[in-house]
Amino acid sequence: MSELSIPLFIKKNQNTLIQYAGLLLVLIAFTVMTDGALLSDFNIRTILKQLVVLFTISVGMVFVFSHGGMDISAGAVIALSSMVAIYTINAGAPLAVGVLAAIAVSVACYMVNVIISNLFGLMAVISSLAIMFVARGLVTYQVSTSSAKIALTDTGVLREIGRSMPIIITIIVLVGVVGYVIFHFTKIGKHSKAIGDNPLAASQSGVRVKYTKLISYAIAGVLVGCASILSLSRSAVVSENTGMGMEMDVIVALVLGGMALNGGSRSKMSSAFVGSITYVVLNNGLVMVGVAPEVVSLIRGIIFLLVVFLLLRRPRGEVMPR
Amino acid sequence: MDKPVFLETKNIIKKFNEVTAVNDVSINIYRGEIRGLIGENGSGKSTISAIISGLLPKTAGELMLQGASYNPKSPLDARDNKISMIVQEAGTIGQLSIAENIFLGDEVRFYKNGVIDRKRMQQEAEKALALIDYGDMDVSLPVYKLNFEQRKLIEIARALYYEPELFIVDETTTALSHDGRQLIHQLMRKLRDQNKAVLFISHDLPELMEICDALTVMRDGNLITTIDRAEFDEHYIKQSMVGRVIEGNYYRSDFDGSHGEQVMMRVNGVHTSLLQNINLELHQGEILGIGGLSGSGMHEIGKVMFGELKPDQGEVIVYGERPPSRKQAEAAKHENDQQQLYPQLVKNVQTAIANQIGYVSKNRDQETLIMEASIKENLVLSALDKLAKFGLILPAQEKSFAAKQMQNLNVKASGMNQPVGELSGGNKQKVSFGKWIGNNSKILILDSPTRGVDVGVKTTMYQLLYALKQQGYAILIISEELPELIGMSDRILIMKDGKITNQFIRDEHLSESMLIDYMI
Repeated sequence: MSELSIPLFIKKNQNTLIQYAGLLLVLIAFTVMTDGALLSDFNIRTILKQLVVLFTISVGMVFVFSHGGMDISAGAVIALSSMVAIYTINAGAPLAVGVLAAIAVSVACYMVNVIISNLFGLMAVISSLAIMFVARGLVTYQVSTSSAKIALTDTGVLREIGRSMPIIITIIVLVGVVGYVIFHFTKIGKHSKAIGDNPLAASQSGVRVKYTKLISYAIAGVLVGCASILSLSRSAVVSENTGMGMEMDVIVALVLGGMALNGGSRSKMSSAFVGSITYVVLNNGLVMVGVAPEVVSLIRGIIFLLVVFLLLRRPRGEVMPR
Repeated sequence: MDKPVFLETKNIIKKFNEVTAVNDVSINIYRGEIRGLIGENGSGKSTISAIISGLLPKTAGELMLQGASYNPKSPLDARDNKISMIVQEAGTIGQLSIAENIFLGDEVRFYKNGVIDRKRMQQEAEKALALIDYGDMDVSLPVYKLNFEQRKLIEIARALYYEPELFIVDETTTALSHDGRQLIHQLMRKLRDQNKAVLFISHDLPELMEICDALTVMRDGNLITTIDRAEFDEHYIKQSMVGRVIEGNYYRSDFDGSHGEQVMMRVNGVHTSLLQNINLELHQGEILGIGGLSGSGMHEIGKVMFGELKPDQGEVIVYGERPPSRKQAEAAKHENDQQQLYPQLVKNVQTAIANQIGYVSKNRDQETLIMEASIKENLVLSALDKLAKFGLILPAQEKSFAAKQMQNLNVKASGMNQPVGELSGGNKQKVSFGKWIGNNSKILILDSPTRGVDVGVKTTMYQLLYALKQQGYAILIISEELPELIGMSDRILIMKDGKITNQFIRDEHLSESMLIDYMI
């Protein structure tokens, strides 16, 4: 290879490079700074427990982001779904029914979201803002009016799931593989990417734009519903702060993973995986090296800005006159 | 020459990616002269005027304004240098008032204590309109309430208000009524008599010959010749416009307008807001051309036939291989002697694609192709259903599909993963063809298929279209380029004001002027 081809290679694979370089950098830096404590058996367990929730949502959000959508209701939907699951299970229903209830609530939220934006041509992020307020409002109202804490009376199996490493790892692998296959090997994923780049060209190629958006949101809904159960398995309670800020964590994670913010053909499922690991390790590492919690957010913000800057698209070329 | 030079272009070159739109063009534009600029579509005449008026940056060369170097960064910059242009397409903003449109980008002149003095702006706008004898118009009206012609007049008033030394008119007149044309002609003559320079771009030769003092002919980005009024000769000018002499193999060489018997598509009494009672049939192995002016509704016919635009009245029928019901499928099995086609209503894009219709939009880069996505992704997008096995589309399948299409159409690229946006116009067009041919489309609706494409590539396109016709494809070409329609079609429909005005069968003696009579 000549010298010329190296910068060309970097330019062509810019996104992939940023994606993995970030993860590698975070891993090496914090391993060194914590004298290896980052990779201790105990800490890896902590990381995985945090990862499984964030990763599950991120996979769902890849479907939403890739077609140009944006969602900020995930955190509030998690709180609402968890709450419904608690009530269902406390009422004596088996765990499976509780899980289904959580998924049903989450899917319903996302369906309302996409139907509003499809029908009225509203920006998806705005309708998700409405969903966020409604879901968060319902939880806050319920928490403030009930005398007791809203908690699982019998944590039972759920608690075991939250503790068992083999189960957590299985869930991560399962969600990852299924998400990857659907996104990269089926029409839904390919159509989503086409819509993200150019909805007009997509529809002229036979893509049913609204239908594809609907399915993408349904997938996101199912995964967010699952994430609410995983989150519940760790805490067993719901407060008005449950899931708070989760929606933003997911967006930052995806960007760190090299996801194009406006979707399109450069969207990759691997962004969800790489990004959520980077994000969790970054948070975990910053706390471990003793960075004050007040500063963590600031550092995250700076890194986020840097990555967004690196991922910015070049403006389009000029158009030839007729 | 004794007239003073106002503007000089020196060896101007303009490239769009790999397509050279203007190649080494040097023109002198004189004061006190109406200079015509003529050439076919894609000859570079609009590009050169866009460079002069600051709409596009040049790739190389130099512009001299009264002897000094001149580099307009924007149309406003050009206006400050006393150069104003009326553009081909609409150049006004619908939501703004007439007055705001006239002074767009120059609101500063009405500043009074930091706010815009609306009253004075409106007074000045009325003055501007008075320049074209339109002083009685309410300048606070939003522009969207005006019709196309009135909007053009607003643009003209705007250009004149700034007392241009060089007034550029880019193909405005084709869309105007007789009175509108007369007005522009008068204005141009008046400016000339005031010793201003006028550049008039058109492909309407008789009009140019009537108005201009000299004519510059462009072809394929090159300046061919400049002719003085005394030496105007219609035949000679036409020849230099076409120049390359339409030889046998540029278009198809036969004059056999025959085609298959089988009707592939039928449009019955379609009405939309722009179309009135459209009826047509497209046959197997037929190239059907539709010609007209841009606003004639011909582009809408393509969209209606592809199911993208729903007709208010009437229907579009496609004859597809897929039996619409199980009963008919059973019946077909019994007959089993011949490939039978079933009439089906084109309800939406999905039914169109399922019945093997392919559509390439006039705005190919915005509507047909995804610039950011790779060649492979573009090629497979409409064929995913065909490639899927148990709902899964495997990478190997996509690759072999894309490789086959690229080879068939001889797409030149660094590889199938190259983004389509990086390709030249011709290769982009090949990808958009390949997208449908690969998907087994037997009916191709092509809107302006050779727009923005080099001459060399045009030739290959025409050969390809002819080969497809011979293979039995039904092809509909919608084009503003009459020579192309005459050269390629078995049958030509001419449109005007949303109606089909006449039909021509392929004939050696067909000429542009015969068709134009039914367009304008």
